[in-house]
Amino acid sequence: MKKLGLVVVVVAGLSQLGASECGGGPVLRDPGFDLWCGDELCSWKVVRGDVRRVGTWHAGDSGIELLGGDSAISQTSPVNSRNGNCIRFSLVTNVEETAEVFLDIDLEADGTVERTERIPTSHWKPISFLLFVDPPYDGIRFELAKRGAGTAVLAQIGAEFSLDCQGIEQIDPGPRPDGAGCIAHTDCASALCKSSPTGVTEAGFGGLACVGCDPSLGAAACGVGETCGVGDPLSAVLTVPMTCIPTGSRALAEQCISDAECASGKCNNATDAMGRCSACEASSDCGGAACAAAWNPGFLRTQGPNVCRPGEHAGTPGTACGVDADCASNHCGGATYRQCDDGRSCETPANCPADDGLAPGACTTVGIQGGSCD
Amino acid sequence: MLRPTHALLGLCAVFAGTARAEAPPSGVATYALVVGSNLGGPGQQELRYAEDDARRVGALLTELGGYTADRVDVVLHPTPQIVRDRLANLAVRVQADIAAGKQARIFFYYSGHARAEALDLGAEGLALTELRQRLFAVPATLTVVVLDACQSGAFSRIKGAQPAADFSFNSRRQLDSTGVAVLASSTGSELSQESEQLRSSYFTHHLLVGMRGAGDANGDGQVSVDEAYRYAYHQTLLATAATAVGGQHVTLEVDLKGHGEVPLSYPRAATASIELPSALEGQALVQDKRAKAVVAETYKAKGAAVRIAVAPGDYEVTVRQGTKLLRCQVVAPGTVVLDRCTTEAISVDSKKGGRFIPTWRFELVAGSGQERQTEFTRTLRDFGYQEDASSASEVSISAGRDLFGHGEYVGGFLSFVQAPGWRRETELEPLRFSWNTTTIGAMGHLEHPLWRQLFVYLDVAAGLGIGRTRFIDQDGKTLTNTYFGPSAFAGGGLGFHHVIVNELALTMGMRVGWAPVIENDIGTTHDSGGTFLGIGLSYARGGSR
Repeated sequence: MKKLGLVVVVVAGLSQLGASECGGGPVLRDPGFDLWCGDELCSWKVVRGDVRRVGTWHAGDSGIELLGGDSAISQTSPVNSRNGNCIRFSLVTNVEETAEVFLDIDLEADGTVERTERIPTSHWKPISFLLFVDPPYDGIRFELAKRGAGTAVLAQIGAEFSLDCQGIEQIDPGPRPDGAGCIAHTDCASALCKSSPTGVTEAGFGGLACVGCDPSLGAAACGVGETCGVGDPLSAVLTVPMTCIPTGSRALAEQCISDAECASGKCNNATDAMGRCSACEASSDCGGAACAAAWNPGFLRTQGPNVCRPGEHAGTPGTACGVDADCASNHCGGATYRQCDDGRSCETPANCPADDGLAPGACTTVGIQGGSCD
Repeated sequence: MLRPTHALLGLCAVFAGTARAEAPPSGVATYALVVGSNLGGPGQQELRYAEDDARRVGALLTELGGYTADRVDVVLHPTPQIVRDRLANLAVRVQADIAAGKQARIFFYYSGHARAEALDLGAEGLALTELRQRLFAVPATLTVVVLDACQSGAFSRIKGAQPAADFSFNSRRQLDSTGVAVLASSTGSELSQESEQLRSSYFTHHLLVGMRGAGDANGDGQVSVDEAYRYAYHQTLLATAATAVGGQHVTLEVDLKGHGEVPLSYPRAATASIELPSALEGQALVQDKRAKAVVAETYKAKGAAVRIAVAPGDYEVTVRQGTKLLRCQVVAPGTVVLDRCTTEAISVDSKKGGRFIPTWRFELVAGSGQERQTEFTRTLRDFGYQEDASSASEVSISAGRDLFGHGEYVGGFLSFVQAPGWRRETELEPLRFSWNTTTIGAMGHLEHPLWRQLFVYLDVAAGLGIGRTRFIDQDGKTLTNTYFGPSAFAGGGLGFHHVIVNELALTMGMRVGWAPVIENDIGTTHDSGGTFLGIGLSYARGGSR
């Protein structure tokens, strides 16, 4: 199983390299707005205002009309600088003169727009832009925003790697946020480009990522009452950031790299790796009973927090738990905990890194965060 | 004195018994000048078989006419000056023979276009007056003139010729072997006709069949001018009576002195013949299988055998008996054995003027080609669609009637063009879009013969176009739309008539179609159609036979 996983990673790497060398690889998913989850788009996110599904050249071929005076949709692509630096963004539009439509390029999907392009007025004409990004970068969020009362319909929004960017002004990603891949300290807004225990990005050199604090220094890297720990995920295209967090602020099941981060004072991590804030570290903490992970979704997925006698329906009220089966009452109270395949918490699949290709990874309910038996 | 003859002499050709068969007397030199020209004058269409007829006449004169090959001068598509020169040469040779104490007989044959006053030899004409003067200036003892041309009977009405009393069978006794005989394929006001099936003019064909023996009424082994005329008159009139042009009357005018018949051929001297047995009855067609040529067509009456002089070889004899057709294989010399014949069916019709003129024509065409690329298809590409590799296909049927009798058909047509499909991949099922155009309307079709069975054609058509689009979305749901608009196409190509069944023809050509009927929802109209290469099968059905 482990060998299979390694093979998958190697093949994916070669594929991405091919895209970088020859161009032509897709960057965006569902360019024709064909994937609908009920009345909402599956692959595109409505950022502001309302949108409506409309016919384009044919009633059966959908486009998106941006409604109202201020509306926007976006899609974050997991591509990075190892896939390529030159991207041709294209779309077919029907934009009236009384509407203004903009393409915003947000590298790293951190909310900072690095480049804005005006979509010209047109009647169902194809339009394209060449985007030349200064490496490294991890992911791009493409946002299409409309202002004004006029009609603006967008269709066949696509982006693919190209080889035509010679002479094009490069887009500077600027100081990269925590969790972004980096090559030098100067790449990072924090001025720290370090090996991060929270994972690596493909864009980073040798597994380096921008960190908000030096994890090897622990509490010494931060101010009083803080420690260098696992921050909240900023973007699906970035690794979970390392940042200074209040000491003991992480509840049971939240990710950690040190005991100091956890309210329970116990992080079940291995050395230089992420773990979860847990109720126990060994059977001795459980009076000789078993101390093990509350959930175990599989070899390649991160395990849950350690609790005493997991799954034995033995927990008395107030006992730490990860799932209902840990409790004699068969009910573990707390917030539902969903995680991506890499273990980070999530609300929707959009919060999760892409497993393969452009589709987002799964966001799965695995247990309870900060749970205690009722 | 020249005497016109128009009497219908219903006499079947019978050649039986062992009557004498003579060659020309040794003291008589025989010369033939045989002229054939397919070219027409201004406003005239090219003939198809005039030159072939001339070749056949020349060959028969050598084979059965007692002429040596060096004294048969076959001249094809000549200018008037060439005819003048050949006549002058002929006069010199005849003059020499006379000086040597010999008599001379000359045979002049012309097949081609003519009007009342002249032979049409391409852009130039040779006045009948001049032809007559030059022919009669040759000091021959006997001159036989055979003219196979429209209004050729007018040869006798030119200046200096006087109409004579009607010819009758009994007047044969008054003939001798000196003077002039003029055999013409039609009267002074008639058109002469060619037969697509016979690949010859009706007149020349039947004249040659008669000279091969079918015209030997008295069974003496030779065919006289009188016998050849009777046979050709009857058979030509019979064959042309039902054509669109109408019956064609062969004329004979003679100015002969002395006694004795004027022989045209000596079929008894032939090395081989085909015998049609006494029990056989019906319209018989003798075809040379190797040359794929009709050697004879004659009505065979029951009760007496008929022999047709032919070259040795394989022949097929077909005999029409009402709705039945006998097909018999014969090796000459030989006899048709009825028990070995098979039964089939046949039909043909024709007109002179150079072409086959059926009344109705039906055609089925199938083709493929490239659909036209327009703003509409560019829009499809803009929206991420790709065209299937397959080409557009077309099927059409048409029916037309020859309104003017010259191969210009006007009628209706129905065509169906299926354009290549387009598709755009999605993460679900691909989006698929396709369309077809049905056109119904009026069509004109023009044919012009090129060479033998080969012809060139042009098509133009216009009518109502009905476009249908079909869109299948990513969930498999099908949406269809129908559009209406004008439609037209034009095309042309080559055709080839079937060698045996002339009504059938194979056509191959290009068509350009145009039907601006398909629209999309953003205001772009597609000019459906494109350039197609098609293969068609046509059937032309004569209306009068």
